[in-house]
Amino acid sequence: MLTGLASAVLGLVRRARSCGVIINEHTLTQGETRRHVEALGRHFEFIHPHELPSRLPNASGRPFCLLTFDDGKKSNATQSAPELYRMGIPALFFVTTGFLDNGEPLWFDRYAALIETLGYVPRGLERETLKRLPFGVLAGRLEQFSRGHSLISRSDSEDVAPMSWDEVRRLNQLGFAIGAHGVRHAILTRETREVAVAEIVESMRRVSAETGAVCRAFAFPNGNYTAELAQHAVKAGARVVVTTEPAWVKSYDSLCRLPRIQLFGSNSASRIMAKIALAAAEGVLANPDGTGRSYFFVRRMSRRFKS
Amino acid sequence: MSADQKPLTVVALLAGPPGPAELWTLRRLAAAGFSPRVVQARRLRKPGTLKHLQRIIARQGVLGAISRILGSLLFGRCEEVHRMKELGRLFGIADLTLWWESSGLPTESVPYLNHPDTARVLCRLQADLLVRVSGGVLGKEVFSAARIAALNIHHGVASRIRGMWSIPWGIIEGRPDWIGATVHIIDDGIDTGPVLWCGSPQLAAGDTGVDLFFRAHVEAVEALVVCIRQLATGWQPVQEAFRCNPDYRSAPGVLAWMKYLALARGARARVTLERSLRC
Repeated sequence: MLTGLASAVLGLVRRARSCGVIINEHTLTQGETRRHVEALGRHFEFIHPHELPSRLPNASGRPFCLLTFDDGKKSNATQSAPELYRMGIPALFFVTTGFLDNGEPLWFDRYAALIETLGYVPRGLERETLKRLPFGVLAGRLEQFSRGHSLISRSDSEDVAPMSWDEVRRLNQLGFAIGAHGVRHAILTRETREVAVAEIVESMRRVSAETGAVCRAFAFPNGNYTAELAQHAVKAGARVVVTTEPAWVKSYDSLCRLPRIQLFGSNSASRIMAKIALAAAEGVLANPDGTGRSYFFVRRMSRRFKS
Repeated sequence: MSADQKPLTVVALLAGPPGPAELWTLRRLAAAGFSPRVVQARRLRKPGTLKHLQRIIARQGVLGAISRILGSLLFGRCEEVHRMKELGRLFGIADLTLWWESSGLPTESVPYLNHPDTARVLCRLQADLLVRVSGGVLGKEVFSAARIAALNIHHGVASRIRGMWSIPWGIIEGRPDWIGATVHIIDDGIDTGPVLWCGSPQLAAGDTGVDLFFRAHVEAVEALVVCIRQLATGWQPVQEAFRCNPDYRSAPGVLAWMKYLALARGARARVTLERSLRC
């Protein structure tokens, strides 16, 4: 029944000039990677990011699927990439450059460890509150609450630790694309313009320097963006800039603000298809960046602006 | 500052108990090494609401005054509770309150900020710099009691908008150029003094008036610290003439409140959503 529903939706969205989907993953085991690829492969044609510009104006044919992985966790290199390579599936890995450089867990992993240690969520330390703070204030607050506690460490887990730059280079050599995802995973719209632009430029420069190839893709940490920041990413060399707006890519979408549908390792095949089917009707799924369904208005305004 | 230089006497002016934003300012000033002395008024203004009401009517007319009072009764009080709760979360009120209770900052109490006692206290303290942390419009005898200057953070872009509630007004009237913060020297007018620093937070989809106020305030307090250090070295700010006459807005009336709430306090406003367009 679900396959029938998915096929019906695919037919509808194709008529609505939908080109395909960009999937946003974080950490998957080998088995989860295989399950996701098999579920998506039933309806979509996997593409490499460099094919995106040519596929956008063309809504005919089988819809495409671009797989992306955010953050640069070690399991991307040890679990997902080998499985994807074996299956011949292209993907784009967005790495948080400062995380790879210093190996310190990302702020949300430190947060998870802190909450696990405390056993409760203190006032002012709610995840949604932290996501509204500039990175300096956020880091200070985590530090202040961590004082006097020995945190339950998960830093040896492959889902918390970063991959090494050697692993990044190896992925690149295997044909996977590497994009930038900020330096510290700071939510860029909470920072001053100068800091936000520096995060974009520096992370793209670092990826280019480490891989030896010009970095052509940027993903906004947590998905929060402004058009001005997207333009800075383009100026810094990005050809593809992605957000987390849970929608299908339409032929009129700009390459500097592409939507992505977020999936998780635990998602079953039916849940994946249901989520993708729901994403076809913009405004049903909430944007995981914390802005709810306001992307619906943004996309509608964007459509009007373009026409 | 060289070793033989006398440290600056910075006096912070407060009206009523400090809220999260005020505590943030005080803690930052203390952390920057200014050891501020606090002059705290027990109430916001001189008792007697009739004069205040007459002033509002003179400025906004009878209908405007009625709308303002109704707006405050119907929405203002409830919204203020919500706003303080949100700001408390963002600024980390629990930690700030602990700091305030243990800070030991020398505090002088006055009936209200424009009371003659305030000027007397400021003279006794030999204030080099005044920082208006909270409270209403300061009288000349108060702001001129500082040897160097009296400073204020206006939560709005002073060259474009003066008066209270400037950030929500920017949301309501679709004016992104009003949204920001300004550090300026206090003079006779409302937010008309020489500008020392002006900045605007980024506007993004989902931002509410509280988010924008918070980010603008955090940035402005950092700028305030820099300005105080510069003023201490004898820096004379140059007043640039405003290119346009800034608009003036006061407390909102019923319609303004309704529009602000209909825009989900900014989260669904054009000024924030439009920042995601045009690429």
